Amino acid sequence: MKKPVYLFLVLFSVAQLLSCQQKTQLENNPTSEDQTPLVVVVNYPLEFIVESIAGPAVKVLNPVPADADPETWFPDDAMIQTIQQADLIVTNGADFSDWVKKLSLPRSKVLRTSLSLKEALITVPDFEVHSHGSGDAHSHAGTVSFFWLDPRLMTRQANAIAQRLALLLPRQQEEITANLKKLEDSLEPLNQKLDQLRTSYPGLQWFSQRPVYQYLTRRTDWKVFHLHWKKKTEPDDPVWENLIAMQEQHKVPLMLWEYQPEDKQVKALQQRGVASFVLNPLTVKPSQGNYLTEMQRQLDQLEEFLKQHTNLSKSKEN
Amino acid sequence: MNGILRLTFRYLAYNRLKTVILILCVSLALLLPVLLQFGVAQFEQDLLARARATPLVAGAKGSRFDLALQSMYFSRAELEPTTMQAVETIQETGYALPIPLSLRFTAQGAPIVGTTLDYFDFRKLVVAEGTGLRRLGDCVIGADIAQKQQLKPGDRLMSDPLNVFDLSGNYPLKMRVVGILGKAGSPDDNAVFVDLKTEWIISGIGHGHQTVDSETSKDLLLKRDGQRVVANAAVPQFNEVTDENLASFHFHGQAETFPISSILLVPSNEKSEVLLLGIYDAKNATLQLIRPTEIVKELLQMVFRVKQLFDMNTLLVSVSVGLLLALIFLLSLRLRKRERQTMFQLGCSRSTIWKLQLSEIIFILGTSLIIVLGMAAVFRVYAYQMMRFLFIE
Repeated sequence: MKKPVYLFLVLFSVAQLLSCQQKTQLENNPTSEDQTPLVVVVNYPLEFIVESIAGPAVKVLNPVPADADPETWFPDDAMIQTIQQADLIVTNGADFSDWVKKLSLPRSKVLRTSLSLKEALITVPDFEVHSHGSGDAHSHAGTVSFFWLDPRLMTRQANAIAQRLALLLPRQQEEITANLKKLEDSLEPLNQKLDQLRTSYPGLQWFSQRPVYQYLTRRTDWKVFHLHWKKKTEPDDPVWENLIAMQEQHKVPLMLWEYQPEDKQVKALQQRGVASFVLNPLTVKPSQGNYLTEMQRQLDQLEEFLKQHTNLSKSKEN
Repeated sequence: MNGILRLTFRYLAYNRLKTVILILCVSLALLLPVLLQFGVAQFEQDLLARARATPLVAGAKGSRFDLALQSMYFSRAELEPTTMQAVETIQETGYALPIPLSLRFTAQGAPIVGTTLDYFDFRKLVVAEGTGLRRLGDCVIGADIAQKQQLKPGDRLMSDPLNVFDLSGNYPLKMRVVGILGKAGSPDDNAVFVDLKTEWIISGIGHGHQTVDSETSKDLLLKRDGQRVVANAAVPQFNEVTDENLASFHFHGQAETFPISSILLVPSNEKSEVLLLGIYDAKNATLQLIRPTEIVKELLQMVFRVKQLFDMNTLLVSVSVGLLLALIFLLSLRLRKRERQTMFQLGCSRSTIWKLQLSEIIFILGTSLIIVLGMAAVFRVYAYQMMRFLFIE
């Protein structure tokens, strides 16, 4: 009678041991389905693209706090570790984010969206001016990094991101393609609005603080002169003299601002015959709406502003 | 115990000096070729293991041996640099993951390897202490260099200037040691790893200096034009990247034009590897692609040719040792002629007497063989450490 009892005990122990081993193996090798890939982005437009294309299939991390400037923000040690361990790091390229240039990143996981726009990139000859060593002052050419302000370039960025996401999520390939098509369609109204502005207001000339709006103004066939004004810095006399000289030479009546300027600056510009308009490039997530709604709203406002300005100019001429 | 064996042991024990000398002579004559064989086998294994773990190497056209050895072993060689554009071009093909390497500088004599984080995954290097590379100015060091220099995370390590007499040359950079790699048993143990961008700072392509603005001393300014302020050469450059001055570090020019020494390529599959080799197997190609295994095999063929000379030498030495031993045994037999006569007169048969002499020889040869086998077994287990001790340290 004792034999079956022993046999049962031995079999039970073996079964327990095997089940424990299987459990351990499962714990050590979690399936990729359990882990949602982490995609890090450097600014809001890229966040919007990735979210639109991949949806909930990926976790999108825009590490830049809402109140920080994505161009100059730098992550702390914990965030650096998170970024380095991400499955994909979508960068803008053209030296948009300071942290991308200064952090050690796994090159295999970095997608530089500017590489998909090579022939469309705008290089400004006097992007930066300085001198080092005993050499004379010289200017460095630089690439303008605000590609998304031209929706056609944003579409190309989205295509590059979709290709990479399809490699990361091979099972969601169809969904990614469908979402990309949806995104392209949703950008169409912005394209139409810019075409309309180009037809209605040809050959406009603008000032801007720094090289930001080149892609937008190329799309609308406008011209933009950047003044090398530092962000949040009050222009002093030599700066104003420079603006007047440029205005006399080019007769520039308009200025684009990335943020709301101080009233006294707007008035000072008005006195010199320059009307100001704020066009937020949306590098940071807007408090309301999303990229599409906010950009549409801004372009509508721009149209309104140009209408008023044109009427004003006509009445002045009369 | 058998009478013959008892007499043999008694004789050998009585003449212990002679016995020990004979055993040592035979052992040494046998040991040399055995150890040489093991040493060469270990050398071949080490070289081929590193080469097999490095599928392809790309670099500017020039010496294939220098390119392979510097890329795998970080040996000093004056390689023609290539640019980051080559890395971009290879990446765009999608056939392989390119891992750039920049190997121009040293720190305390150890090679500084400028690369990307992909290198650590590729070589399966793990950080044993501290963290991996984080930002500009960080370095992760190999286990051996950490032990030699008594370095730990948080310490600083200065890069060596290329030429101490060239005042206009590169400025040494004080690097922050953030991690120590686990022992890998490879040249990585003796290297200092930095981000490629840190290497460019050491070479002077990138640098950091105090903010130059409207409040900067006039002595440091060359020109002022509106909000644009141009600094002169008097503005001091930072020789260390800190959290406070990190923002001021910048690079001049386009990253695609920055120099690198070589590129390790990890092809996606065999087909990609062949396609890549095909792309660069053209006369007008500026890059050369090499398979390190082929280079190492060529090197080993040279080593084997040298080994054949050693083998011949060993054979001649063995023959001469054998002849000497035969002479010693013959002389010994002649000296022991009276001893044999006495044994014969005591009633010992001639065959027993010869068995006695033969058992002495067999014991000496057997003991030598056991010693050689024992030493060979030990050498086989500790071959890697012994080779390092003998040829590297």
